[in-house]
Amino acid sequence: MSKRIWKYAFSSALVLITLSGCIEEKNLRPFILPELVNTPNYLVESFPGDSVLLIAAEGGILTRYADDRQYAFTVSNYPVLDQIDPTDVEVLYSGANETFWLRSDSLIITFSRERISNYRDTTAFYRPTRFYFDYCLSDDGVLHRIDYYNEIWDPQSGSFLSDYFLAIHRFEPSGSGLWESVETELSVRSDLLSSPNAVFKGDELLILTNPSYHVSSFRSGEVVAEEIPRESTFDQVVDPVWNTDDVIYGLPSEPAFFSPFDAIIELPLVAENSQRLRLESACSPSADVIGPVKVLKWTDQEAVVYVQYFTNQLTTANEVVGYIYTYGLKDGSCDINSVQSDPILLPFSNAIRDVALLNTELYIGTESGLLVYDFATLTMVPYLKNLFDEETR
Amino acid sequence: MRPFVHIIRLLLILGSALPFTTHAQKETVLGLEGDWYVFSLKHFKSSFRHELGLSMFSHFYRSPDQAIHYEVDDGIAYPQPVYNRGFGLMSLHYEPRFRLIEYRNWASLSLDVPLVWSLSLVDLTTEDGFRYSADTVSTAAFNAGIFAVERETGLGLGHLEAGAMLSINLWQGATYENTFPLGLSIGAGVHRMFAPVQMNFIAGYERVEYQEFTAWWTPVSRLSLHYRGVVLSYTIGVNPTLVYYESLNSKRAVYTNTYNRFSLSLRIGR
Repeated sequence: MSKRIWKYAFSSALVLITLSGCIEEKNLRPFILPELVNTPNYLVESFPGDSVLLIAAEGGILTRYADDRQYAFTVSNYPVLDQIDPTDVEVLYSGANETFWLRSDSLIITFSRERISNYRDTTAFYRPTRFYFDYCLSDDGVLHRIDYYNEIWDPQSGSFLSDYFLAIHRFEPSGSGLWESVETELSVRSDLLSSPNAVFKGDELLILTNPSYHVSSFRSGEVVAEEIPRESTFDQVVDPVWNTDDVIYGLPSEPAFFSPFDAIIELPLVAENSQRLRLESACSPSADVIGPVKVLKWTDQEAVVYVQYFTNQLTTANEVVGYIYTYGLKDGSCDINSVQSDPILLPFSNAIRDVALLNTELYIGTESGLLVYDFATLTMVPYLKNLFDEETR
Repeated sequence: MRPFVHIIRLLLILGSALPFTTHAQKETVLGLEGDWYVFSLKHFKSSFRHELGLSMFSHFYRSPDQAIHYEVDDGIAYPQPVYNRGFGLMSLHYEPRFRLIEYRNWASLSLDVPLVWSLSLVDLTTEDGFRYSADTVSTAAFNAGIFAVERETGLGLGHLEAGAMLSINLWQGATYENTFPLGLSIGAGVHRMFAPVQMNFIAGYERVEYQEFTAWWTPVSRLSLHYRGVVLSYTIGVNPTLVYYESLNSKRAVYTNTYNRFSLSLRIGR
C-alpha cells in the first residue's frame, strides 16, 4: 500500500517538474548611448546622399550610418582624437567602403564601422605652395590630394611669371610614405595661382584652378587631360559637386560659420562660363541674418543651405535661431524654413557651432551638446534623449 | 489565455498518471461502490471544504518584468529587467474548495479559491538591487548624465493574492466520506497578485504612480500532502521567464515571474 503511495507521490512530483519546466526566455541587448554628444560639439557633418552623419565633440567622435547603427569613438579609448584641431577639420565620406575621412592639419583619421585608423602626414609637400591644396575622394573611396609640386620660370619668356605644375597624390600608406604621387604637366601661371579644387566622377577627375583641367586618366602614371576653355572671368569653385548634367556647382569661398557666402557658382563643364547664382536676390532674407554659411545638401535640382542668425539675447519660445533656404538651381526659386528655438535647450542662439541636415531633421551642434530639430513637428530635442526614447519605445 | 493552456496541460498529464490507480487498489483501499457525483448546491455540505493555512519565511515571488532599467556606462546602455518582488515574513491563507466532480469516495476534481494575505517586504527592483522609480528623468537631468531615478527605500509592505485552481484530489479530503488518513492533491491555476497592500507612505510613494507595477497574473501549480486534517502544500510558478541581459560587459540571467510558497494548513470540517 505504502509503495503505491510513493508511486503517486513520484508521479505527482514528475508532473510538477514538467509544469515548472515551461520557462520562457528573453534577451535584453545593450545599445549605444553616446554620452559624448552631450559634450560641446564643434562639428556636425552629414552626407544626405548616403544618410550618414559624423559628430565631432569634445568627448570623441560619433558616426551614424543609414541603418541607424552608431559607433562612438571616445577620447578615453582613442587618445589620438584629442589631437584634432577643432578649427581646422575637414570631413569626407565614401559610401563605397563606408568610411569617413577626417583630416585635421597633418592628422588623417579614417572611421569605418567599429574601426579607426590614424596617420600623421609628414610628407614634405612643395613648400612655396603649401597652402594651395585640396583633398577629395575618388568613387572607390580613396583619398586624393591635389597640389602643386614644382615652379618653373622660363628666362626666355621676357616676364617675371612662372608656371606651377599640378600633382595628384593617391593615399596609399606604405613603409615609404602615405602617398603615391603623379606629377603632371598641367600648369597654372604664377599670376593666376589659386588653390585647386577637385572632384571625381567615376575615373574622371576635374581640377578647378585657373585654368581648369578635365583629367580622364592618371592612374597609370600617364596623365590624359584637357584644359576647359574659359569664356568668362575666373571664379573659384570651392567644395565642388559634379552633377549628372555635367554642371559643376560650388561656393565662391571656403564656407565657415560667421563668414557667409553670397552666391553659388555654376560652371558648365563643356565651356568654363561660370555664373554666380546670387542667393539673396532669390531668397530675400531677414535683415538681421548673418547669411548663408553652409550647404547642407546638394541635389541636381537644388541646394539646401543654412542661414545663420543670432542675437546675444536669451531666446524665447519659438524664436527663430536660423533659416534653411532650399534654392532651386534651375529655376532660381527659394523656399525658406525657419528653425525655432527651445529656450531651455538653447538659451543662446549664438551657442550653435555647426549644423547638418539628414532627412527632415536638422542636427545642431552646440556648446552644451547635440540637438535635433524636426521640421515635421517643429520641435527641438536633445539628440541623446531622442535616441534613448527611440530605443526604449 | 496562457494559464488555461497550462491547466489543460496539467489535466492531460494527470490523466496519464491515473493508471497507477488500479481497480484492485480501489477495492482494497476504499472498498466502496463506484459512482460519479457532480457538484450540487443541494448537497453543498458534502461538496465543500475549506482550509486555513500559514507560511513562515517560505513565501517568495517575482512578478513578470514590468519595466527596464538602463545602466549606462561608457556610452553603452545596458537594459536590466525590473520586477516586483516580495518576501513573505508571514502569510495567512484561507481556501474554500468546491468539489466539482467526485468519483466514488476517493477521488475528486475541485475548484479551489486560495485567498492569501502576506506580511511581506515588497519592492520594485532589479537583480542588482536598483530600486526602480516611476519618476521620469527630466530633460535637463538627462543631459547632465542622469538616466534614471532611484528610490531610496522599499516600495511598501504586504501583499494579497486571490486565485483559482483546479485540483485533482485523492483519498483524504477528496470526498466528504473518505476516511483514509493520507491524501494527495495536485492542482494548477492562476493567482492574481496585488503588491504592496500598503505603499511606503513615509517615503511618500503614491499608489497611483506605481499602478502598473502592483497587480499581475501568475500561473501556478501545487502539490499538497494531506494527513488527516493537516495539509502540507508547495505552490510553484509554472511559467517563469529567464531574462538574459548584460551588465557592464558580463553576461547575466535572472528569473522573473516566479512564485514559491510552502504552507501548512488545517482543514476546517471534512
